[in-house]
Amino acid sequence: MDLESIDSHFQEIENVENIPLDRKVLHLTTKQGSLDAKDLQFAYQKSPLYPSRSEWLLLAYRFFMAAGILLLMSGIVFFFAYNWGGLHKFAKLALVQTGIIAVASGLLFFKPSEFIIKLGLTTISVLTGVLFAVFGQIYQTGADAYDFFLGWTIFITAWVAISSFPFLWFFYLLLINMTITLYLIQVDGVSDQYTYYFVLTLINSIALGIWEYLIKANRQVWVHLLCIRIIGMFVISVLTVALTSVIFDHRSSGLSVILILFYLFWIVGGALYYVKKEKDISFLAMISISVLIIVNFMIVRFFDNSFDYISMFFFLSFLNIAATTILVINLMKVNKKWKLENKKTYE
Amino acid sequence: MNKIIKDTGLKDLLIAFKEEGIDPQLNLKKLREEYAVAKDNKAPVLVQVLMFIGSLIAAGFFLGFLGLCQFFESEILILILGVIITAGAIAIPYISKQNSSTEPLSLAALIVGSILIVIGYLSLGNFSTTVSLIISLLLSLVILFISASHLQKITAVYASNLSLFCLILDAEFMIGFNFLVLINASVVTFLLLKEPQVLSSQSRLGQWYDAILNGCSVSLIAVLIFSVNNRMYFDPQSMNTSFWWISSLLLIALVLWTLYETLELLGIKKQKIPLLVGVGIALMILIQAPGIISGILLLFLGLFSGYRIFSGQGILAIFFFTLMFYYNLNTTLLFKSMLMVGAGILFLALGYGIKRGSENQNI
Repeated sequence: MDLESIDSHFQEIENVENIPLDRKVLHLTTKQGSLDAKDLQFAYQKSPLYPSRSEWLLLAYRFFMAAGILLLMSGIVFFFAYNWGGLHKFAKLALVQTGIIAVASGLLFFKPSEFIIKLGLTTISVLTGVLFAVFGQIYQTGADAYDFFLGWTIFITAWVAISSFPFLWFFYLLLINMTITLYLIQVDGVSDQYTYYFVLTLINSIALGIWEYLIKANRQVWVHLLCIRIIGMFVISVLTVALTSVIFDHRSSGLSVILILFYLFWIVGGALYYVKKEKDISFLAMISISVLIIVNFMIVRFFDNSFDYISMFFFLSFLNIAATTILVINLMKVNKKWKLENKKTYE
Repeated sequence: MNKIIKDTGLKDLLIAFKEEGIDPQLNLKKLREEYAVAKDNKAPVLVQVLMFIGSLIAAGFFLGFLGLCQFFESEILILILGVIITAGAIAIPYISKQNSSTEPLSLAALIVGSILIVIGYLSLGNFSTTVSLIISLLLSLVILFISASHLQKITAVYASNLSLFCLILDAEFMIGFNFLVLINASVVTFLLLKEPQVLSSQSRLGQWYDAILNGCSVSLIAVLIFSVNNRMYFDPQSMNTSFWWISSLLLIALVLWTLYETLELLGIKKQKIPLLVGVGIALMILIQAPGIISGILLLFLGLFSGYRIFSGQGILAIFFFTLMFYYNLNTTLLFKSMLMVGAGILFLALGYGIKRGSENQNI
């Protein structure tokens, strides 16, 4: 090895900024250097991209346990859906109840790790629903699907509360959504679509508020971030669809006005909250997409008598480019500013 | 081996190179310049979605405007305008040095230009759907290789997959879906497992990596969704669904390869064979659910390479395809439940084995 080139190279190293070694930097290092496959493999192994042995083993253990539980639960649910007539009714009930008792006993007496406890509570929660389904199937109780989901939701509340497991909370939220939607359909007999839009967005907005504000979800944990963003995306999507219906509906009702006000509250309030407090660029991007779509529909609806379609389409094509460009420039500026602030806080 | 240093930077890497006696002959000035450009233009995922949706809406309105102007009556003009707009769309990122503010315009222009080229060709009397799909495929591949814009490259990958999908449907060559699954899965697996080897042989390939990986992973899931369990498009009696085991076998091979490379990288020797055999058997039990196997592949690849988007996609795909497996028409619910329970027990056993092995320091 040429020591002079290494020494002169080393002098330069002192002046190099310690740019975080991500995939992009490794690609640029390859492009601007001359490394063979073995040296590049060394560089990748030195980077944070590849996991360490202990990290991979922990992740693999969690994956196998979680996937195993998921597949096992799915198998059990499929089995009862098969509606195997040859099995006595007491045997069917006993099988599910035995499963619940076995899992609960295992958690109490074997004192497993925290992750296994969370998976165990999730298993019990799913099996509770299976138990109610089997009960309803055997005794043909005539209960609505609403009663089934209501019972399921109520009976797992305690486990959800103690689990501290975001996936179970998310599943619980799905059950609440199903319960209330089915109540509106089957019990109240509501046919107005605006009611569904409003109720769904209200429930999930409250859930999001609880998750962000009361639970104070740790955004460094990817599971919390994923769940929060999925809920946010759902609320914004439903509100966008709702507003689109309102724009093109020639009837106006009290509920359509409420939906408009709720949408404006979400857009303005949500933008302020995610700019000032949480600094989450994803929510701002989702809000921007919604506003872009709604503005397009509003222009088409309210100016279709003022302009011919040729002029309107021409105008809208360039308006969308301009609006998207302005939104992107501003979002990128804000994102860059937040990254710098984070970096300074870290230093 | 493989100690993670979470805050490892370029300087640390250069010091490590020196200690190993490796001279990277790095052009630091150019690296800094390119890094600054990349950092300034790196857009979060949902901002990219905003760009894509905005461009799509703009392109739709512009094509509507052209349609209303009866522009489409002149075949030659459509073709010429299509070529000019497409060329302009490709030129914009080069001129602006991939500035993210020009992405909406360049992507909208690309969509408009590409559609005009295909319509122009069809208008010249060539009404064959097959030929128009082949032109779309070739155009997408050309754009993928010559475009400088990340979004244009991803769109080109989606467009080529869509063209291939439609070609298979048009030809009623249903077994072809398995090859489409194989192409996407193999590309993604090979590019991640052999990343250092690929880049060392062709150092400029780095600029295509993200686009191809993201494009192929989403296309893989989309092909599985719209060709397996999709009763809307396919008559279950006419479509020969019994060839789905081909996709599963290919995906199982890729999962095992990924697992093998991971165990080699981490120096896990003693438990390598039991792990590979256990996972192989569990996946063979799931042979009728290629969607679940594809989710496992993406998750393993994400864990191997630190590509977190793949880990997220893998988890969502596993949940989604487990749910969709309920509607699989190939077999009874009883058999499906036995398969799921069997695979579930095996996975639990593997998890328990890893925990015991770690505690006993056998792994």
